[in-house]
Amino acid sequence: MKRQYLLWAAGLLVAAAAIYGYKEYNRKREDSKALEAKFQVTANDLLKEFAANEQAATGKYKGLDVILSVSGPLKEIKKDEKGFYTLLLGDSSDLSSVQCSMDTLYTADLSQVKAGQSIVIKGAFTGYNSDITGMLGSDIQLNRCVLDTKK
Amino acid sequence: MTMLRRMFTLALFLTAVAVQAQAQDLHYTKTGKVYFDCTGGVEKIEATNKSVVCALDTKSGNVQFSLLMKGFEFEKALMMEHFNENYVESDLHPKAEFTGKITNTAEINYAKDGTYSAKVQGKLKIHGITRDIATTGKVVVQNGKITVQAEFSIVLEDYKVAIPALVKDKISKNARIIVDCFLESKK
Repeated sequence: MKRQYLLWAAGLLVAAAAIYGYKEYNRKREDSKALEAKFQVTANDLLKEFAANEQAATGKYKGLDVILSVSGPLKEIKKDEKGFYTLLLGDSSDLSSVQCSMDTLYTADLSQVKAGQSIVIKGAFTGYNSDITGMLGSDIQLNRCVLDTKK
Repeated sequence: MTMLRRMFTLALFLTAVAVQAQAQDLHYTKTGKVYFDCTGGVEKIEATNKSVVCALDTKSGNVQFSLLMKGFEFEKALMMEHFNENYVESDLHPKAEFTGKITNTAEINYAKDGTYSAKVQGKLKIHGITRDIATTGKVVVQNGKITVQAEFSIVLEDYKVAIPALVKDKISKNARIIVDCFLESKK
């Protein structure tokens, strides 16, 4: 009798492990809108932070899927040759921007905003791409961005 | 005095012309695409980065690429985590860079529509390791806009990207890399 219980328990454990493994293996990334921002910052402060000390700032935001909520003036809405949208935040006089690659699921929301407006964007921090030519500016890049409507 | 002023004006004018010419030769994008494929078994292992910076000086043929490793998007979350944490260690080595030259830039007419073969040579830095690479890509000119495209393979071991024995049947030893950057001219 006791042995039968043990067998059942072992069987259940194996099944639970298999379900967990299967789910973990096929896990998709979380919905961008549902993610909580770990840091809230203005575009200009973020750019200044990296320009002043790239190493320290990179250390502060290290890790995968570190979500930032960034506020600032919307410099430009760019639609590329493949139809993907990128929003640039920051001063229009500055070559450097916070460059937000928009989540393709939520590009319809972009009809709510236009260049010149002050907006808040939430996205996963991917790093700082310092200028390679001296003529293009250095950018902070965010991926899977959505408009952050939660104030 | 007048002579000095004239010379000064001329020097200013020449500098302005030189800067203008330099800017006109520079074509760039900050939303270039790089795709890679490391599929070794049945399961697809592939990712795309849509925020690649590429700059091309059409006069000298100098070409540069720069991308952030965390910008690669995978279909599966676990794959993306393994890529960043175990394979390319993106917190330690956040960027991949290429600096090189189109060696036959004189044969390419950037002002005329067409597809040109481009011989590219340079240094590729991934995972903190820099190696010389050479490949033949394409420069496509259409309505005055330049697109640079290339496809090549790298050996992961060359860049000290270690694949554990447990998954060596699933991950290819080589990564096939496709570059596709639509450039705009720097005003």
